[in-house]
Amino acid sequence: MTAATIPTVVVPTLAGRFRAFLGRLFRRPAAAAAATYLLLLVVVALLAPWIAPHGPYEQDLNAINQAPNAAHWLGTDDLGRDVLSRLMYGARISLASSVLSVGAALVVALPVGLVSGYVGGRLDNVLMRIVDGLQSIPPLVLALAIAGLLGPSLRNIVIALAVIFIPAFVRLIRGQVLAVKEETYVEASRSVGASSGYIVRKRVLHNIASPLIVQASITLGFGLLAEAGLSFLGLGIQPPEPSWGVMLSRAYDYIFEAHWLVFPPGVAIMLTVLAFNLLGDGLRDTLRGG
Amino acid sequence: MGRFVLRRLVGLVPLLLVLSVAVFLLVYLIPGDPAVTLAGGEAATPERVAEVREQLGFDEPVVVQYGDWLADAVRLDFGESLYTGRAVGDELRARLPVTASVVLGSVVFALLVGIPLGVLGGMRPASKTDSAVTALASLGIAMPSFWLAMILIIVFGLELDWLPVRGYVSFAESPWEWFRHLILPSIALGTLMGATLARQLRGALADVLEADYVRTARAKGLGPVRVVGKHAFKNAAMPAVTILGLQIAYLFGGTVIIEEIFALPGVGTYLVNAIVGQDVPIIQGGIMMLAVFVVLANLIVDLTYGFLNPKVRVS
Repeated sequence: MTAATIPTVVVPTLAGRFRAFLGRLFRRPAAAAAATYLLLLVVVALLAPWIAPHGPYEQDLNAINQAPNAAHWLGTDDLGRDVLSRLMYGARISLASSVLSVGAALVVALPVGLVSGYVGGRLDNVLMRIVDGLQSIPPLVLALAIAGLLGPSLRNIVIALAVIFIPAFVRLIRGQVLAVKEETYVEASRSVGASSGYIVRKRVLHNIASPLIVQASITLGFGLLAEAGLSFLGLGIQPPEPSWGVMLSRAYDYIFEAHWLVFPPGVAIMLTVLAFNLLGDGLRDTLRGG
Repeated sequence: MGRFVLRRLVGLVPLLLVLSVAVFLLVYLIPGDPAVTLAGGEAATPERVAEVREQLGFDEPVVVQYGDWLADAVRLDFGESLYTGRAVGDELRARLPVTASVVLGSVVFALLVGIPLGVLGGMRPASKTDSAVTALASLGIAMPSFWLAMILIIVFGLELDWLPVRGYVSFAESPWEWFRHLILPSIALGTLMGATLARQLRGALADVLEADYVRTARAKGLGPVRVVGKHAFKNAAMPAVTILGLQIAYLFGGTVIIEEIFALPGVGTYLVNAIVGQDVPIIQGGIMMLAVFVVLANLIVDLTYGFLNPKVRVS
């Protein structure tokens, strides 16, 4: 007797599903362009010490405030430093402060939002009042005050930005938990005796991942803008270290002598924020299954 | 409606209390002994440290400090600057008209640009006009306000020499000069809000135009202007109003940087200088004031929303 063929169900692996997801994402032109740009930017930032034509602090006082030319593709600043090289090194600091602050905000907001939504009751009430209070302070002002009082440094910028990002993340996570809690499959898990920890890990987290990823992408753009704002006012990254905000601040000081210098860091910030936003939109539409 | 307003007002009390605690506790972010740091660091004389400690009430328990601060704050007394000794409340009052002018100018600019663009895009979804509106709005959202400010300064101030790029003239002194000095700051600050508004309105209008009652209005033979003006716009405006409310906090935050660039003597410049110099009473007073304005602005948006939509009042 020959063995009957057992119908097999192909369970897609995580990697397989991820590849399929990327495929769908890259079919959207705007999202594909944004993702490609961001990938390139990260590569440039990582490789800056090897591919930048000059050092970020290398001065040439015989060639200050130059317009773009063959030797300096994006010109030179008031100390004769190569703008393109500083832009490449600046990408490291600007991206790092944005990524680290969003990461730190998530690490705090995830447990707080989960507990607030899952436990509910008085605890939820208190936590939400705190979130309301924090959200009434203009975010940039709060970040400035925190960074200013702690003293300007990369670490303190990350703390300041994380604090202003936490409320929106907590609100989002809590809202998702409240929505998921009522779903039949969560009720089913509970009825067969699954513990709260198991339900949160297996059911709730799985379902809040999508909106969280979208929000994180858009917040990364906001982080970049906020870092630039802080550094511009002198409360963020300290010169001569190159961040895009520091470069813009310097360009403002020389706005009468060299208009040109305003553009490279400004365009870099705008394109990168645009890319994070477009990627966020694309992720949202793709995750919705559109 | 009366009960709705009352409920909202009562709801503000816990919010303002949480807010005041957060603002008050900011001083404890200063590393080490705040009194020593604020007196000028290690080099400070013991007398100066004692003076600062006394002025900020650091020798009392935190709860007592907070109670004292709050009791004064509700009377708009935020103490004196650690360096100039001038009353923070007076200074804030003197600078408020400048900040209010910039915020008002920005909202006006945002409405003037955002509404027409949003309607233009939303009326014909997926058309060339619509794509242009969407692209423009995306750029407006991604552009840092202070970078836009610099470009405006270069183009309209330095190259064309049409508009002043620094300083402020009060309305009482010369309404025309007041207006001219506010144009560039308002464009720089209002662009983000205008772009967000255009994007929201465009999406909402495109959705509403699909609705049955709009089809009925069209079937009656109404032209596109009447359809949008009389039927669709009001419903599409609801989500836009919500967005405006959310954006107000950003607007008050953004004034800080815009005032700095255009050298406007408002609350923002005062606050930035205080933060750089760690002048705690100013930081607490200034942030508290901006936050209260955000809360009040949100309240007005809430009430408007309740006025437009009866369902909100009872929920």
